[in-house]
Amino acid sequence: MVTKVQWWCSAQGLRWSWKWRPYPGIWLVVLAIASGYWSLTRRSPDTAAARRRRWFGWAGVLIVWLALDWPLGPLAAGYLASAHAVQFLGLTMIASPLLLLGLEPALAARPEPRGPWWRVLRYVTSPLVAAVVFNVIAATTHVPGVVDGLMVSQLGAFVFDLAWLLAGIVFWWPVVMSVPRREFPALFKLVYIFLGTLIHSGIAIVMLLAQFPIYGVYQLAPPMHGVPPMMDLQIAGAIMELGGTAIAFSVMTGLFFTWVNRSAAADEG
Amino acid sequence: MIHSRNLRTSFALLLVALLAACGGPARNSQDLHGARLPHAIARPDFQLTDTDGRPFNFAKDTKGTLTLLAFGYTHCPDVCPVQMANIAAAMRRLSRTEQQRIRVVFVTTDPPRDSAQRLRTWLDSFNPAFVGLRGTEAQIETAEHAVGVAIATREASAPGDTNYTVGHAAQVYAFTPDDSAHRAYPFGTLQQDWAHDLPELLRGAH
Repeated sequence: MVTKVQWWCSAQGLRWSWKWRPYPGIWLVVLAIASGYWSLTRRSPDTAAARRRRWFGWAGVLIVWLALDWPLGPLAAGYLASAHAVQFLGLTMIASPLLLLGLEPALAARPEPRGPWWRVLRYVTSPLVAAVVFNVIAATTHVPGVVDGLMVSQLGAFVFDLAWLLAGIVFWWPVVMSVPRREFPALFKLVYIFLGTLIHSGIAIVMLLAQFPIYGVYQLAPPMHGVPPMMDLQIAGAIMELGGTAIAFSVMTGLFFTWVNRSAAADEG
Repeated sequence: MIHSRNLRTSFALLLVALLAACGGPARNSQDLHGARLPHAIARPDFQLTDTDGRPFNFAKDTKGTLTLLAFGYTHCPDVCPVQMANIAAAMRRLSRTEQQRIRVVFVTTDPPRDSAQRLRTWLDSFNPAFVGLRGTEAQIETAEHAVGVAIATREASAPGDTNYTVGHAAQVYAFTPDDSAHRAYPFGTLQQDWAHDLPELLRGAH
C-alpha cells in the first residue's frame, strides 16, 4: 500500500512497519537548527573549552534529529506512550541543555545586545518565569485531550514537538547560560532544577497510577505486538520518573561539586 | 429557641440530602457511552459454527444474556484487535460473576483465512471465553443481513493472494437481556467507556 509522504510525524492509524519513511519537514527543521547553531557559534572563542562545548552543541542537534525523525518520531506520535516519553526527555532534558552548552561561549563573548527581542528573552529566561513556562508547557502537553487532539494532525504534532524543544531551552537557559548577565548562584540552580523537574514526577505518577490508558491516540493505535496500552503507559511513567530524575540529579550533582570546588578554591585563595 | 429550631431543621434537611445522594443517581440510559441506535435491533436469528466445530445459533444460544456481537477478521491490522483488546481489558475489571454473565461473539468475515484454529488462537489472546463463529460466505452474509450491517467486502487482490484486507462493519452491538440491541460501540470506544457501560448494561440500562 502506497502512503502519502508526511512532512511531520503524526498519528495516522496505520499498522506499524519497520520500513523507513521520509519526513522532509523534520529534515528542514533540523537543518535550520544546525544552520542557526553554526552561524551563532562560528565566532566562539578559539579555546579548548569552547571547542569542547561546540561538540556538546552538535550532539544536541543530533539528538533533536534522532528524537523527531523515524523511527522514534512516528512511534511517539501515533503508537507508543513510552516512545513519547523518551522523545520528551530527549528534547527537553538532553538536547536543550546540550544546545545551550554549545551556544554559551559564543554568546558570552559578545557584548550584551539591546533591543526588544533581547528584553523578551531576558524576561522569559529569568528563573521564575522560565520555571513557570516549562511546567505549564510540560503539564499541558501531557493532558490527554491535548495529546489526542494535536497528535492526529501534522501541524498539531509539529507545534507539540516545537513546544517541547522551546520549553527545554527556556528551562535550561538560567542554568547553563551566563547571559543575560545576572547573578544565579549554584545553590539556587540546584533548587531551581529540583523544583522544575517535579513536574516529571507528577506526570509519571498520573501515568503509573492510571486505571486505564489515558491517551486515546495510543489506546486506539494499531497494536504493537506484546505491548498492551496499559503496560505501555506504565513504562512511559517509569521513563518519565527514572529518566527525568536521573538527568536532573546528574546535573545537580555536577553543579554541587562545582560549587564545592569553587568554594574551596576561593577559601584557599 | 428559634435559633436552635432552625439549626435542627437545617441539619435534618442536610441529612435528607446526604441520604438521597447516597442512593446514587437515577439509572439514566443517557449516561451510557455507547451510541444509541435509531431503533432497537431484535436479537438476530442466524446459525454459524463455533471454533469447536459445533453449531451456534445466535438467538437461542445467547437468549436473555448481555451479548456483544462483532464482525471482523484476524488479519485486521487495527480495528478488530483494538476493539477486542479493549473489551477484554474492561471485562478483566469486572467480578468473575459479572464476566460470566457477558458473552462476546466474534463472527469472522474472512472464512478463507480464518480457520477454526486460527480464530480460536486469536481470540484466546484476548479472552478464552470469547466465542468465535465461522461459516460460508453466504452464511456470514445472512448473519450480517440479520443484524443490519454492511456486507463485508474483500479488497481486490490477485487470485491466490493471501495478503488482502477486508472492509467490514466496525461497531460492536450490545444485545441486552431484553434480547434487543439499543447501543452500538464504534471503533474508538475506549476501555474506560466499556468499563463504565458493561456493568450498567448488565443492570438493565440501555
